[in-house]
Amino acid sequence: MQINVIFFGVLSDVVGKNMLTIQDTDNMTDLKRKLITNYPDLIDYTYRMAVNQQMVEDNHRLFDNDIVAIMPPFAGG
Amino acid sequence: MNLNKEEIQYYHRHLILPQIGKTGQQALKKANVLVIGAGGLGCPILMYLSGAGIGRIGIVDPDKVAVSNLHRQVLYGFSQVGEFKAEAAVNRLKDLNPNIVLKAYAQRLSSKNAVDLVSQYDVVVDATDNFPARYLINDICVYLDKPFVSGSVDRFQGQVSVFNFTDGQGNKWPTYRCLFPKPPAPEKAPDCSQNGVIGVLPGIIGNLQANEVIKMICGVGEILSGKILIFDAFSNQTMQFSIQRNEQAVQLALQNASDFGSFDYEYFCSSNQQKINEISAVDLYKKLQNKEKIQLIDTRSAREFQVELPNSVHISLNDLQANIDKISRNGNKVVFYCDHGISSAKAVRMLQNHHNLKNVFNLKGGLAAWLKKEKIEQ
Repeated sequence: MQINVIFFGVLSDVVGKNMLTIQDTDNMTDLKRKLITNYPDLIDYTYRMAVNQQMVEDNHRLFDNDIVAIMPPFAGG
Repeated sequence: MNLNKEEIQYYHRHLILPQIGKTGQQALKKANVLVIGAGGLGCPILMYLSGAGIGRIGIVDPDKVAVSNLHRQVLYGFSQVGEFKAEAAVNRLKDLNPNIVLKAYAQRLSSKNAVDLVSQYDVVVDATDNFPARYLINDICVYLDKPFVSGSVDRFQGQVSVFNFTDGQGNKWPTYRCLFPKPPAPEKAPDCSQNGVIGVLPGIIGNLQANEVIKMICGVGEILSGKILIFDAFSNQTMQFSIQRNEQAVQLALQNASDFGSFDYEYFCSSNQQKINEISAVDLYKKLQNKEKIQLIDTRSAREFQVELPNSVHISLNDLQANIDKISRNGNKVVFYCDHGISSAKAVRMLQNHHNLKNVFNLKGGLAAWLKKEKIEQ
């Protein structure tokens, strides 16, 4: 079971890359916990998570090879 | 709303498009659009909406043209530096299209003027550069039931969406708060003046916003309602994500909007909802006149105003962590400042919250307020 995670904006600086894979997780709450364990600074940021291009809530189920996108709001203009 | 001879010539390339044609062009001529922010996003939006023949365009921006704006705000040139952007824009756009009505509002959108300004227009464009303005625009548009086209940029990436749209069947679509119910902590969401932005990016994102406005008014094509588009200028990747409407988030906007005068968006968007120490330009001036020992720290990484306060130490916001030991701890006041008091407020907030410093203050309104005070003194 593998989930691909992509990061936008400032979050790619926080994790140091645009994309990574997380193994053995089947829901968003657990995925979020795993990410925060690896990248504790994430906890201070505001972001929304999408699965296969649909914004979802924390309790969403995940399936093998799902693509999770994590995006912060941008301020600039 | 008929088109005159000159307009028929001007809009020829629109008129021969079956998707726009005479009906679409007349709809554009009848439209009232308020563009909030005449900066990186606002410039292309204003140029193309004017060219497209939007009948009446309002332009809200309290700032003046600065040299550091010109690399992306290509509506202006060196000869407009120091002029109000809203006014400089109207002067340029009048020449681009004399057949439309342009109105400059050289003022900041606030909870005091928002109802009056927004209610005069049918469509709003959010081309601002800060979260207090973005949440205020969302709430006022939900309250007054206006659609708004939102765009934002961060270095090499941009976001575009149409919020609070009501479709032909009367269905209400998602709002900005349905996507982001809560604003981020300011120090976690840097703006372009700290982080930089590639000049063409607001050009691209602003044009996408103008395109949404035009399609919405003409009722053609697909609009980015219920979706957010993300563009990455580095990889050329464009992705769209669908958003659901969240009635709780909509209610939050309505609650705030019904009591606008007393709702402080700056405060709402500030970290942990905690106030920071601030000092006014007049107070700082008096204290310096009385020879009070105050350390002055300039947090700018780029300058809009060429002046600086006497005996300042220069520590940009990004270098603050590494230079904490340069901040006076002998009990004297330390006043942080920048052009408008935004990046310096982030510095003060960080030092108050994470380093437990009590003697740090933000110069309220920054050098802009300081220079105004000097004019009053004279």
